[in-house]
Amino acid sequence: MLVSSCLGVLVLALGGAALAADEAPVVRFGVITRYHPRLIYQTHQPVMDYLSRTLRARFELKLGRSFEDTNRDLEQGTTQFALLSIMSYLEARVRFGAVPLVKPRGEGGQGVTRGVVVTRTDSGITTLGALKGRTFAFAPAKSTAGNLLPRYLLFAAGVRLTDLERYANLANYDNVVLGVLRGQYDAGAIPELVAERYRERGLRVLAVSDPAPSEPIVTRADLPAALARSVREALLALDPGDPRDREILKGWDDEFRRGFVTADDRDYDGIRRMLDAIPQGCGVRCHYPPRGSAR
Amino acid sequence: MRGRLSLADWGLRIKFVIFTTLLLLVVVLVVGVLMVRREREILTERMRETGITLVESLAIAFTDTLMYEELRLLEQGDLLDTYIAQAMARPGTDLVYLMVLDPEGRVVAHNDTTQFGLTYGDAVARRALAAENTLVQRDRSRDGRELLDVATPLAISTKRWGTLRAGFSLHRLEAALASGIRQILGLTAILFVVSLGLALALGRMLLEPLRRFARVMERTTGLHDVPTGEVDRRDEIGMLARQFAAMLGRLREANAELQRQHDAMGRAEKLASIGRLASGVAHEINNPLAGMQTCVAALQAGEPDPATTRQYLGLVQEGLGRVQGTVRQLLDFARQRELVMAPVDVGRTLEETLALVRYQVERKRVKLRLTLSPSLPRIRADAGQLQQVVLNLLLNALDAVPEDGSVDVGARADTGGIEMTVADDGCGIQEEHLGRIFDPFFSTKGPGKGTGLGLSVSYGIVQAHGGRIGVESRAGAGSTFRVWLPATPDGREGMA
Repeated sequence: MLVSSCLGVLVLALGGAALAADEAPVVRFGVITRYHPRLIYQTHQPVMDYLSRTLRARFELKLGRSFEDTNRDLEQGTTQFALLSIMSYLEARVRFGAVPLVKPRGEGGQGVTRGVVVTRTDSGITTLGALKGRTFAFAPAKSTAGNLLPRYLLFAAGVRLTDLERYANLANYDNVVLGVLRGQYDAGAIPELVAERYRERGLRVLAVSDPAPSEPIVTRADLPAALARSVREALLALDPGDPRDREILKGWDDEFRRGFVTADDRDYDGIRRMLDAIPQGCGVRCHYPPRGSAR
Repeated sequence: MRGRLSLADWGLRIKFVIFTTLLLLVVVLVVGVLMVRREREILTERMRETGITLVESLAIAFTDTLMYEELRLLEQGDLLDTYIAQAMARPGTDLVYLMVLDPEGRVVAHNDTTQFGLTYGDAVARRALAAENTLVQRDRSRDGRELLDVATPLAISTKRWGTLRAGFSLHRLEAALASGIRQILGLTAILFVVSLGLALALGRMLLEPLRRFARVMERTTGLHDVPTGEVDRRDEIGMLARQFAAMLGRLREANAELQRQHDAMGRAEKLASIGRLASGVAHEINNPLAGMQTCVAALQAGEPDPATTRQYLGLVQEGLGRVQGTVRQLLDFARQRELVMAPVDVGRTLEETLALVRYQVERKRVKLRLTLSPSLPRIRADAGQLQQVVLNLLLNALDAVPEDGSVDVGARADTGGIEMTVADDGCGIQEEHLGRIFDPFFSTKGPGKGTGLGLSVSYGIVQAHGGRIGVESRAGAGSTFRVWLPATPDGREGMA
């Protein structure tokens, strides 16, 4: 039922441009460049395979060169769905009314994520305060767990950006980890799950942020509701307690392996406030949706 | 005309050498072929693994390149062409071609830039494009050379940008195999020569004792010779020699027993012959006795004048002489003697034998004729045994002919000896009996009329003289027995 209705909606929604005469309709799915592109393909292509099988459409990944590219692709209709960072989502929400569908359950199953500050095991740095005068690598500026939350951590520990010898926002989480491990930076900020992946290679966690909602899979506001619903339901239907679903989820990104929960715009209000509260935020409440828009 | 030379005609040594060498050759060739096949498998597998390793290693960079191109992080094509050029320039890879095809089979990059943009739709390409993992296929290059085509998807997970295909020439592999084959053939040739020499030497070592033993056997002409030399060996040849000596012993015993049987048969037959002659002997004795009785009675009845008395005494004298002669003849025939070879006048022997059956001849009114050729040579034989042969044939002939029948006895010189014949016009011999008449105890006469030994004993005597005996007969038309005897017992002639 879901599948058949979905197909019809897809055809209507995507129009002739997205359809080849003898092929299933193509649905493009953007993913922010949070990892190295190879890793994104490895861990997100299985999601596309699952959706393609389940919804009888051809879901294809569409990567960009930056977080901004992914937002732009969704805004321009090049992609129909996207996994965005929270800050990217908030921006997309303001700019073209992006709608959150689901978010990963994450490690605790609560649909939250945390940012961590990491250093090399042998760096001798044991507190955030010791980072003054040191170099620091942030994840891309639009990353919540790798940029926004760690900045809060540093701020709370009394370390301002001007206290650092040098800092930079690198292209993705892997760049941050490698920068720290190679000694190019004394410390870095990444999501907790990424830190777990690299712990064996000599990373030590200095501090963990408060939880924030995990990054949402969003769609365009003008996409037919039935299509958005079919994707949401297909992802929500995955139950990590079911062995068959667990088998499906096995090759997926670590953040996705516990399945998904429904995402709502209100989940991200806290982040909006954080952005407004810190000096590095825009401070003009620009991440709130236009007055009167749907929540 | 001799037939083709067969295996059986070859000496053991030649057979041994040929079979040993052939066996070794076959073994070496089989092992060689197996080695070459194994070598081919190993080399092919090694090349396959090398190809897979190279292609899969290159595939990582190629995939990333295509991915970066899609992300517009790279200018399309240039980097792929650079990778291909560098890979092709690596020495020792045996690369014939290296290309990247997009999912539809269109050439995106190729070491031969003229191929750019072409779409490959051949079977090898189709299989390569459809393969989800690295695929190795055999193919031929455009110039017909055999090669390995190794293709691997340029993909991450199920996201596929195209296929990387590399062709590896099998020329070096084939050259290595050809070299291996040449080495094996060379080794085979050397082994052939060595094995031939070894087989010859071994054959000589093994078979020379056998040849010596064969010479010993050749020298052993009589049953009483004792083979020497090889019997002392402890190997199979010695065992064979001892078995041969033991067999000679058993043959001596068997021969002695045969001789005893033969003698017994001869005696039995002789006694039987005497029995058959008994009436004739009685007649031969009674006739002169009757004459002598008459003379004695006449002398007792009166007083004859001296002349009559001398005449009567002369008749008595003559009668006694005839009796004495008859008894002497009988005794001569009946006397048991060893085989004594001496010059024999065959004509006289025939005449004396005919005298023994004169009574049976007269009683049956048989026309008995003796024909002797004028230049009959003397032969070396045992006269008594010879007489028994003739007597047996004569008595059989007289039994076979009806009254007034005829029996012709003759002797003539023949090549290297003489031929005696005893022919009758009697009842003849049934055709089915002809093959058995010389068998011991075979007789067609009624019970009590024959021992069945006569012709068998005659056969044995003739054989002992180195002669031969045969018969031509037709039922109802008579029989002719022919006995050929050599002039000397060892002067044998081949049977006609």
